[in-house]
Amino acid sequence: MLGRALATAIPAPLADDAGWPEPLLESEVGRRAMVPPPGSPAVWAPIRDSILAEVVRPAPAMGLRASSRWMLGAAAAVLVATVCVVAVSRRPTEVREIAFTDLDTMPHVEFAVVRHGALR
Amino acid sequence: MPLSLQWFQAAASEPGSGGQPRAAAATVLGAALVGMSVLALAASPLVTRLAAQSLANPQAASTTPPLVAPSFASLEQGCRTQDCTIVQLRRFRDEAGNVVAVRERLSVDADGTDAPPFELAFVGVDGELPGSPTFQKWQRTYQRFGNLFYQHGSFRIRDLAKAQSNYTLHQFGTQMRINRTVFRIVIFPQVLDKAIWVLDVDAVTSVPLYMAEFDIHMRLLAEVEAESFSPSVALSLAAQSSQQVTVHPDFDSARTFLGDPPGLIDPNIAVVSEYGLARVEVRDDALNGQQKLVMTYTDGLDVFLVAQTPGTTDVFAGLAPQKTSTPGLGNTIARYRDPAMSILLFWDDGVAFQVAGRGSLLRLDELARRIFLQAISTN
Repeated sequence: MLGRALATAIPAPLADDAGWPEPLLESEVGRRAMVPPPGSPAVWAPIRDSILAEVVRPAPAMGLRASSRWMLGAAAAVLVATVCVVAVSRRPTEVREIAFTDLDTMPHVEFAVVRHGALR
Repeated sequence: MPLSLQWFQAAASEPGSGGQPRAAAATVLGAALVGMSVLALAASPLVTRLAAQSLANPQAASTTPPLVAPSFASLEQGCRTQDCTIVQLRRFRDEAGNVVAVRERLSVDADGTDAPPFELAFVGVDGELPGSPTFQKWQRTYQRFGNLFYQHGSFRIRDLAKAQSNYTLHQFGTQMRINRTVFRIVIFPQVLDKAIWVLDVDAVTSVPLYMAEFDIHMRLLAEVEAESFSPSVALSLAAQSSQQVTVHPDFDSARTFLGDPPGLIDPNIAVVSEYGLARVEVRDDALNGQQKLVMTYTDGLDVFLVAQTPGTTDVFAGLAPQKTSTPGLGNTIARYRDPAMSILLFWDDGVAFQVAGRGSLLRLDELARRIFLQAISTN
């Protein structure tokens, strides 16, 4: 009786080069080994937190403290502001137009006196 | 004989008028120049040859021993080395063509330089009694502007090399003026947007005793006629003009003298390339007392000025933008032009700019435009 029970519970050995025996794969043990166990929230919560912490944390290579980051940010802001001010204040002479306005009366300047005499 | 020489002989044979109005003579000279200028343009060597024939005419030069005809070099040398005192009539023409003849006394203490000590004193107004309102007005004018009449309102060789390259000199024989033998010469520009000069040059001293300035349309623009000449001088320091002037070797020196105010520029004058910087000075403006930097440029004879007055408010603020399609980008040059002068005024960065020269020199418009752009891009 014991022999019969063992015969049904344990499949008969196959040839040496056959790998996992088919009966073993189809057994209850095989199914459990091939299908991953369902995730447990209790197990995955710490893992998730550690991943998120890794993402949020600045790169170790920067090695900047908070004060340095503020100074860097301020410098960048000043640089951007300077570029903007220069860009705005730099008058585009290439596109500027010069308009001539003809005067009806002689301007009161010295050269007019030289050419026409006393101002009238 | 060519028509131009017939006209010329008619003008040259006229004796000195001793102070009478010379408008008629100027008209004759102008008419003579019409023909002369055509010949000079079309066949300048022909004019020279005809002028040489005129000089060789024994009737034209019978009153004097052989004399050396004037050249640009002798004209320059005469003004550099000859002391003189000349009473002369200067005829001003206003924009309406009215003429006022003012008598003045020019005293030059030649010192070998092109800027010798001098004095230009008011004597009177032709046809006006001393003390009349007109007399007093011109007296004040000479007190304030007398120096400028000599510096910018008289013929002078300002740069010999440039004069020789930018003008041609034509001889038209000799005649008598205030009992002195003079050579009549015509100085013609290579570029036709400048004045034509007719001069009677003293044969002994090479000092001009008569000068008339015409434009290319033969309009008489300026005239100075000597009434007496003495080859000596006695300057009175008290009679110097009240205008304060300091001369500087270059732009940087003048700017430093002014206290390095912002907005001043060293003008780029490439558009009038035959001109060069002749003088840099800081003046107290005779009209408003403001100090200004005045740079004088010359092509040898002609001049134009670029004046910069720092520390001024924008007189065009109410005008700009004008005639521009882009609001806020308008820049205005105020321009006044008549046959005698071009005045261009503009403002940038606290500096009032003025470009001033002869009326025919239309290139001053482009010069002013470029200086304006230079000021905008620099300041």
